[in-house]
Amino acid sequence: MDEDNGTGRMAWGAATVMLILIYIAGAVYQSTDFSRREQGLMEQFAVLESRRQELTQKMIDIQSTQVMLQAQLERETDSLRRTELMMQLSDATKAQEAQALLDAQAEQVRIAAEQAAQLQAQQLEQARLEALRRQQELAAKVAVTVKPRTRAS
Amino acid sequence: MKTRTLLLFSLPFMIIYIALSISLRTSEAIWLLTRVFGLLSYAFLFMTLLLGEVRMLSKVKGDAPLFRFHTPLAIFTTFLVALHFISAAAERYKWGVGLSFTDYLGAAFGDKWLVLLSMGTLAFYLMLLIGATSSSLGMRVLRYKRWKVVHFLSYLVFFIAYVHSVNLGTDIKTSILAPFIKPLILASFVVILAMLLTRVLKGLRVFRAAEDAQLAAVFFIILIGGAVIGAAMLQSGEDRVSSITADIAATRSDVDKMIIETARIGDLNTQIQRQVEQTVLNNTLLQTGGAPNG
Repeated sequence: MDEDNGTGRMAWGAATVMLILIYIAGAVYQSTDFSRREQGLMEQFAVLESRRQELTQKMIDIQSTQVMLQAQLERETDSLRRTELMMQLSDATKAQEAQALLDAQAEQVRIAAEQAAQLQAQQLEQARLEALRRQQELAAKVAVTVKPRTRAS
Repeated sequence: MKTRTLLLFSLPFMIIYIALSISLRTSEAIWLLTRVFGLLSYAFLFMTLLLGEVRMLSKVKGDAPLFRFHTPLAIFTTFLVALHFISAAAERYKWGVGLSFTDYLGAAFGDKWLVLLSMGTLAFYLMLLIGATSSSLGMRVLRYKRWKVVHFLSYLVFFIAYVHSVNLGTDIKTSILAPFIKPLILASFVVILAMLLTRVLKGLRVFRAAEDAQLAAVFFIILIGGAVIGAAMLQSGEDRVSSITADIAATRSDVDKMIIETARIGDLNTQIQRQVEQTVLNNTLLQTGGAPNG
C-alpha cells in the first residue's frame, strides 16, 4: 500500500490541477464568448435604439405639423364660411337696393304723371279762360257795332 | 447513557414546545420559528454528515478528534428537525392555512407542494430510523453490515432535505437573506455529493492510501463545485443574452409600430394639406367670383 502512495497522490493532484486549469480555460472562453455575443447584441440594440429615437423625433415633428395643419384648415374653413356668408349678405343688399331703385322710379313716374295731369289741367283752364276772354271781347265788339245802327234808324 | 439523558431532558421540552406552538399557531412567530428551525436543521444535518466524512477521510479512523461530536450532533439535529416538524404542523399563519395535520404525516402527494412537504416528513422518519438503529441495542440486533446500510440512508436524508429546503424554504428562495443562504446551501450539497462519490470509490477500493481519498474528495468538490458554478455562469450569461435579445425584439417591434404610425400620420397630414389647399382655392374662387370646387 505504501509503495503506491506517491503515485496515487501525484495522479489525484495532477487531475485536480488539470481540472482547475480546464475550468479556468472554460470560464475564460465562456466569458469571452458571452462578451462577444453581448457586444454584438448591444450594437444591434444601439442601432435600433437610435432608430427608435429618430422615429420618436419624427413622430413629434409630424404630430406638431398635423396640429398646425388642422389649425390652418380650421382657419381656412372659417374664412371660406365667412366669405360665403358675406357673399350671401352682399346679394341680399343688392336686391334691396334694386327694389328701392324700382320704388323710387315708380314714385318718379307717379309724380311725373301727377305733374303732367296738373299741367294739363292748368293748360285747359288757361285755354278756357282765354276762350272766355276772347268771347267777352267779341261780345263787347258786337255791342259797340249794333247800337249806333239803331239810333240811325 | 448520555444519549438517554439527552432524550429524557428533551421530552418535557418537546411537550412544552408543542403547547407553545399550538398557542402561537396563528401568529407570525410560529412561521418564523418554523423557518429558523428548518434552517438550523439543515445546517446541523450537514455538519453531522461532514463529521462522518471527515472520519472516513482520516488516515486512522479512531484518530479523528471531531468525530466524538458526531452522535450528539446527530441527536441534536433530530431534535431540531422535530421542532421544525412541530412548528410546521401547528402553523396556521401562512403555509399551514388550509392544511390539516394529516397532510404533515408524509403521505400527502396531492400536488407538488404536498409532495415536497411529505418529502420533509419522510426524511424526518428516516432520521428517526437511523437514530433508533444507531443505539447499542440497535447495532447489536442489526449487526454492523446491516446497520451500515441503514446508516447510508443519511445521504438520502440529506438529499431529500436539500430538495425540500430549496423548494419550500422561504429564506432560501425569497427572503432578504436568500442571496447569502442559497450559495451556502448549494455549497453544502456539492461537498456532501463529493464526499459520497469519494466514499463510493473508497468502497470500491480505488484508493490505495487515505491521502488519495482526501485528494479525490478535493478533486470531486472542485469537479462538482466547478460544474455548478460553470452552469450558474452559463445560465447567468444566457439570461443576460436573453434579456438583451428580448430588449432588441421589443425595440424592433416599437420601431415597426412607429414606422407604421409615422406613415399613417404622414398620410393624414397629406390629406389635411390637400383639404387646406382646396379650401384656400375655394375661398379665392368665391372672392373673385368663380365657382368653388368640391
